[in-house]
Parts: sequence; structure tokens; C-alpha cells
Amino acid sequence: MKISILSGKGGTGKTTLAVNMALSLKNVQLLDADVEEPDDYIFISPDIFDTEAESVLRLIPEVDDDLCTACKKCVDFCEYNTLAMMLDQVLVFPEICHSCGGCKIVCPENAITEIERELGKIYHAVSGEIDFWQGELNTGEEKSVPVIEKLKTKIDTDKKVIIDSPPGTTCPSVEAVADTDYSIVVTEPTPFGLHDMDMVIEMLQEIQQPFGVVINRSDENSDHLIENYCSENDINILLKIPFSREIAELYSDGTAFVKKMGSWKSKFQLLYYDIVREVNNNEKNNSN
Amino acid sequence: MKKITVISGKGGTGKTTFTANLVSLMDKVVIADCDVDAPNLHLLLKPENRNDEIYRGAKLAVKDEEKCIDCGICYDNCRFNAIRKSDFSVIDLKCEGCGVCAEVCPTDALKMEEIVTGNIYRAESKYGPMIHARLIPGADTSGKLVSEVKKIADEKAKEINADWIIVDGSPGIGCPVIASLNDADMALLVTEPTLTGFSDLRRVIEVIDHFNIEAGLIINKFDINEAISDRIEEYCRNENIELFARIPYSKKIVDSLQKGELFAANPGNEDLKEMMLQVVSKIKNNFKGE
Amino acid sequence: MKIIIPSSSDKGLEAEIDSKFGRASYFAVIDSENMSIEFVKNDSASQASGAGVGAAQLCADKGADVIIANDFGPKAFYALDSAGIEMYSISAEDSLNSAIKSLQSGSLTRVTVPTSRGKR
Repeated sequence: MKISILSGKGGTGKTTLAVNMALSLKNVQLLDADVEEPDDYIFISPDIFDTEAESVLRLIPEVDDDLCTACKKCVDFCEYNTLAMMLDQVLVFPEICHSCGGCKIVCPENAITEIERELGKIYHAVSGEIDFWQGELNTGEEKSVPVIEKLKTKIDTDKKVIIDSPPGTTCPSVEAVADTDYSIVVTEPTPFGLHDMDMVIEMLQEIQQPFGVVINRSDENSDHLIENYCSENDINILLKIPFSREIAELYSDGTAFVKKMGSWKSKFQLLYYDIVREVNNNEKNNSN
Repeated sequence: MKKITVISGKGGTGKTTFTANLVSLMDKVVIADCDVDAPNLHLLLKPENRNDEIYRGAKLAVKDEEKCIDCGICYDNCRFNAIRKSDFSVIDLKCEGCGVCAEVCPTDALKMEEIVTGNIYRAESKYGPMIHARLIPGADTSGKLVSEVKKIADEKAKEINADWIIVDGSPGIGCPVIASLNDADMALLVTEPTLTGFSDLRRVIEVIDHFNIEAGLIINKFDINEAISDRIEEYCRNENIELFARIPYSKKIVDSLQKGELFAANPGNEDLKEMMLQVVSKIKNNFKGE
Repeated sequence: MKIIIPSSSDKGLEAEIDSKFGRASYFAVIDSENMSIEFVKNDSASQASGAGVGAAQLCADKGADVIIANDFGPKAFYALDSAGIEMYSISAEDSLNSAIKSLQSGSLTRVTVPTSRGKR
């Protein structure tokens, strides 16, 4: 079972849910795919940067000045302005290259080859029952999708897989959610939370992904904001994590709250098995 | 006219709530919501008389089925898996708009077209003109949309002879943040005393260092972890970043937010309003003598 | 000598300098011999990425000897520097006319490192 956790914007509680759920289950894999700001490690494996990382590589063009005739076709082709022709010499700006390979295709002199460049890193640690993997985008790089793709090759389907996805609704989020069995949208009961959740749900519906909602910082006076939306749109609310000063204080120090509030473990286990049941039911209905 | 950009590094620190309350206490202000990933400022400032403008932020491969001969060359050359193997159709969400498929297609069946990826709105709020934007889900954000929003805000500020442009910047440290900070006269950093908030703050300070602009610090929910708050304050003092406010973890702020209201405007919150007014005067002090 | 200045409009020498080099609306191409002026629309302004590089390419293609602007990002700086184009910085509130006068009077500072960091 592969479950992806996402939210409309950062800071709604995606990390809180991912790490606490992972810590409550056995034989579990946690993948931090929020590669621009990975922070699950703070709660799971604070020393992860001391371990050896695996590089994620991508291709960037290199121009052979002896073969180049300064025809400028590569510069004109590149949609991203990765190349410039200055004094009959091609300059390459690798950070903005999308690695599409187009410049190599259009070059009539075969003057362009592609070389590998590190885009990001994959870290690995084992902590208790958790097989933990983290993707990280190098500073200055912009394309997270290849890092997420590589991270997802580490998925072990014999385990319960939890993927902490990048916030938002852009390509990296779509990539993190792809091929997972179910998504959990984390939100909070404020007009902001409602607005951002609505955008994520629009994205999930477009890619026909099954999902449910978890309300973080739940408060009986305002949960109706999210509850009304969910009942109107026939969306399941899976769990509520209360607005609690204690949880916020534990988070601030890098402590997952299930470690201090042990009774929550069974709630996260129930959450997991509720999702398993829903996915199995959906499969049965689809095959009928 | 001075431009102030509010940034946070990490999402969810209260940046937008802070920005909304700040502008409500300033005069002759134009507001630009450059948090294009999660544009929320309008939910508190409730602008009206909106004018929509279509934003075309990306190119996409579009196929002419009549011309396609199913040769599959596009499929072989697309590095983004944006061509389906079954019928060689384009998967819009995966297309990066690079143009390789159009280049290699022997029958010109594929063309690159600029597509609508969002809207930019010019509107009027109670507190001043407001420019904001919304991207369609799945669209990639870029510095371009941020630049466009700021450009329109600049024009509006000149038109009404505004004293201030307040920019609600993007989270993170990527291209949209750089675009929100570029040409700012001052940055306000809103952070929270958590290990994750602190580590993201350090990265964002690296970014503002390179712009060489003045910055003020706002620690939100400071009493959640006073030890980390003190460390943040000290760190910023060494970076020559002045503390502008320590805002408490307060149910009153949450209550106002849940109702979509400004906490500084609500009765019983005079202490919080006073704190925000102090921020306003610290901003003004910073420009005294110019 | 050809001087290029990013401009927020195409309304002659009184036009204001555009504060963004890469995403300037126009470039004013001025021939200092006869003060003739041509405005070129900056297509890079509407591109999603690499606006600074694209704008630098446009200026090089137009045969710039000198560029006066408020801000040069690192990529634009590197590209223009590679083309041997001299860069000078000026405040964004100036008009094209006063920029040229300042250049001729020698009161502008030559830019020898990028003035802003650009992306990350």
C-alpha cells in the first residue's frame, strides 16, 4: 500500500502527519519527497547528513568549440534561455537547463554532447521500524521532478509506504502522488486552509486520484469550514489532530508527538487500516 | 515610495496574516500578493471590483491528429514521458514545453502553443489597491508571474502616488522569492521558533544578504519555544537584522483568522494592534532622513 | 558607440529606466554619434525562465557597446561580460536622457561584479 501525503501550502501539518503515522506503524517505509525543504529527518533521523548520499544526475549540454560554427540554432531553439551566443562562442547556463536534449538534436555540426551534472541527492537511514529515504534538491537547482522519480525507485512494496509530497499543486506534487494508491490531504480549519485544500483537490481530481482529508489544528468552533466543504463534495474526513499547544511545543523541538502521547499510535494505525479498507473496496467495485 | 517585501522561508509561519494586518494599519499603500503558490491575502483583505487578466505562463505541445502518422519519433525523443506510448498523444501535465517533439516530428503534426496558466487580478481593497494572481492547478510557478504582479503594482503605486508597496512574498528560497525581493527597499522576515523554521530562516537570510537590503525580524508564536526564539533573535542580531516584534501564540489571532478577519481590527485585541503599530513605526524609522 | 538601456516605455528619451534588466518592457538602443534612438520590445520579459540571459543575447545581437541598468543578475552579467560589453549601474528612477548625460560626464560606476544574485 502506497499512501501520499500532501497539502496546498507548506506549514499545514504534512510533516506532522507523515512522521507520526510512520512512527505508529510496523514494517514501514517513509519517503520525504518534499525535496526543496525536506524536514522529516529532524524527527526521524537527525544525523542523516552524516550518511553517504547517492547522487541524482541529469544531462546538460557541452559545446565543442572546434566543431561549432556559431550558427546559433541551439540558442534559438532553447525555450529556457540556457544557451547564449557571445562573440561566436556558446555559453551554457546549466542551472536553467531542463535537460530536454533539444540543442543536441538541432545542432547541424554534432558539436553538442551531453555531460552529467548532480541535481540532488538521496539519503537513506533505518530508524526503528522505519526504512527512511530522503530526496534533496541541491541549492541553485530548480527541477525537483527527477529527484522525486529517483526517490520513488526506492519503494519497497512489501512495506507500508508513506510519501511526504511537496506542498502545492505543481509538477513535483503530481510526480510524488503518481502511482500511489491513496492520498491524504492535510488542511487546517481556516479560510486559508480551505482555499489551499480546494486547489489540491482540483489537482487530484484531474489525475483521478482517490483521497481523503485530515484536519490539523482542529477546533470545534471552526471545523465546519472544512466539514461543510467535504460533505458537499462527498469527501471523507479521515482524522482530526487537535489544536494543541503541547503538540506545537513538541514539534518546535523536533519531537514527534506520538513519542510523548502514546495513545495516538492506535489512532494512526486505525487511519492506515481505514485507508487500506477503502482502497480494497474501491478495487472491488472497479473490477465488478 | 518604498517597497517592503514580507518573506518567511518556511510556509505556515503566519506571513500572510501578518502582512494583512500590517497593511490595514498603513496609509497610501498598494498591496501585491506574490505568494503565487498559495495566494491567500485576498481572503483577509477581501478586495472588490476585480479586473481579470489572462496570464500565459507556459508553452505546451499541441497535436494535429490529421497530420500525425503514428511514427512514434516524438515518443522516442521526449525526455519527460509526456507522450503516451499507446496513441502518441500529449500528457499535458508532464509536458515541459521544450519543443523537442515539434522539432523532430516529420509531418509538423506537433506545434508549441502558449497556454493560459492563470489569472492576474487588479482589485481594490479597503486598505488600498491590491494586485494578486492565481495559477491553475498543475501549472508551474515561475519568477515571471511574480514579476508581472509587481510590475502592475509599481504602475498602480505611481498612478495614485502611493508611499508604500507591500509585497507578500513567496515561501522557500527559489526563483519566485528572488523575484519578490528584487528591487525591494526592505525585507520583513516572519518566522516561528521551531527547528524547521529556524533552519529555513537561515537559508532565506543568505538570500537577502545578497541583495544587501535592510531587514526586520518578526518571531511569530514566540512563546511556543522561547529558547529557540532567543537563538533566532541572537542569530539575527549578528546578521544586523533588528527585532521588530515577538508575537505570542494567541487564541485571539487564531479566532480572527478562522473567521477571515484581521486580528488588529477586532475588539479586545488592542495589545496585538499596538504591537503591529510598533512594527509600522519601526519600518518608518528605517527610512527616516531619506 | 551603441548604448542600450532597459526602458519601461517606448516614448523617447524622457522614458523611465526599467528597474529589471531581464524583464524590462523595452530596450532603448541609442547611437551616441547622432543620438538616434530605436526601441526594441524585450521578448525575454514574457519567457518563463532565463530572462536575464535572453535579454543579454538581445543586447549583444543589437551590437551594444555599453549597457546602463539598475540591476544586473549573475547570468546576465556573465553573458554580457563574455561579449565584452561594458556595464554601468544607475538608479531606476532616472530617465534615459539623464542616464546618457551621466554616462558622458563620467559619473556612472562601472559594474564589475553582478549587482544582484539572481536565482538562489
